[in-house]
Amino acid sequence: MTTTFYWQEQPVEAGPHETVLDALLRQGHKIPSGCRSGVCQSCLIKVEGAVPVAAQSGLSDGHIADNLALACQCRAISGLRTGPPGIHAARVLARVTDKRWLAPNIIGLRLAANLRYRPGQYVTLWRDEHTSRSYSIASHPDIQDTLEFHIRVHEQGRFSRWVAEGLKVGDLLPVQGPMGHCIYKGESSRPLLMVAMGTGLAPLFGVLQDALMQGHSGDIHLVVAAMQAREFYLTETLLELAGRYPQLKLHWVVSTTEDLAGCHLPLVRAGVEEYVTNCFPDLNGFGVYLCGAPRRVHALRRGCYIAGAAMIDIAADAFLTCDRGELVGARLAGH
Amino acid sequence: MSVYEKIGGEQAVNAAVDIFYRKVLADDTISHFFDTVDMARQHAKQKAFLTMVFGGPNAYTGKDMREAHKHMNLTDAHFNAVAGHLQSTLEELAVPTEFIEEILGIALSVKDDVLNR
Repeated sequence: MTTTFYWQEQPVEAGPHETVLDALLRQGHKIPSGCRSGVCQSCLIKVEGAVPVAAQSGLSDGHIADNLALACQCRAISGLRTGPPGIHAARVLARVTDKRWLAPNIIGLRLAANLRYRPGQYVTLWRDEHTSRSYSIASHPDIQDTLEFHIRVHEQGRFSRWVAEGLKVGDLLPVQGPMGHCIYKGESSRPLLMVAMGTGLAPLFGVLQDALMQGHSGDIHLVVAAMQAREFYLTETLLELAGRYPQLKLHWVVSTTEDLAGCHLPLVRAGVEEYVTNCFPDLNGFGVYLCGAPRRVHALRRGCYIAGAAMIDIAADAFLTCDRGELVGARLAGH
Repeated sequence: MSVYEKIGGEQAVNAAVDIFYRKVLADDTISHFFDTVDMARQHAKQKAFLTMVFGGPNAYTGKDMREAHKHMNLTDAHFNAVAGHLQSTLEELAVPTEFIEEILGIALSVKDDVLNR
């Protein structure tokens, strides 16, 4: 059974379980798209009339009021009338002000852009009309004027390799957002557990700075996890913060089997889930923040919940650690 | 007055849902059923389930129950495990015995739907 919906008044045939995005792309329409998981919001479209609820999950009130929807999350319902969002206004142009390697495979990118955000939120960066990726903002608006991103460079990454090799200081690129709810929620005396896996450190570094600036007095445990010791970055900054704020406790966890002799950090060799389970058996009353690859975040969320954290107190930001371009077609549940 | 109202309405559900769902997830005999689900969404479903068994306003139907559990190959043991967690949750919250019995009675009434019989 096929259904027919409309794109700019033209009928489009769709399969029974097809999304609007898949149907449009299959029939050669040029629709920008990125993660295809409802995260990056690259595939915004305008829908007339009633919009399927799932297609507006995570959108801002403004977007919802404008009847915008995510084509990748929108089932192709018979008779649905769709069209381009016409909201390039939702993007701002940003200028590259700095670019440097933070670790052998992680670039720190700074952009000057007129954008209001909360530390821990993410934006979508556009290379061109058809290539976009979402990255978390690592900076704090009251500490620096620029937006900072930690970009893991993948060998085959269409976006990240371009950032590493093509993008120069002074270049302009469109930024869309901000999005996401992985932000500091106040309650300054409660203990916090933040688990940053890989470049999951980016949003949590933002949240951490926000918590400290807002005078968070409860213990803040930041678990920084990486596959290998050389992938740790921002270490000096974090050590300096921990020296200044005694409530900040750092935990460095590596899952590698490499020789750790000569490393100046007090590293623990463990799987991150195992480490968190052993170190934090009772999370009752904790605020929990989890950022990293979806599988890890999912497992940790469950572990932390069983250990006593209330569901409402667990903020999770799961993102693809691989370059999204390699994963087009992959779908993720539960970010 | 329903049990739901007598034990404190939505607040009672809120107090129970984390304890209940935590017990379910920590039980190795049934936790694998939840390996791939979105936890936040499932949490909301557990809340709807508790609202129903407490006799509160809900939109649960036998058809939903049947549909949701149809392909899971559930047995009496699975059902009894969940019912046991419900009972111990209520005991932990010091719900009076007579109310617990009424609540477990409602839970039992959906057993055939859940087990697809």
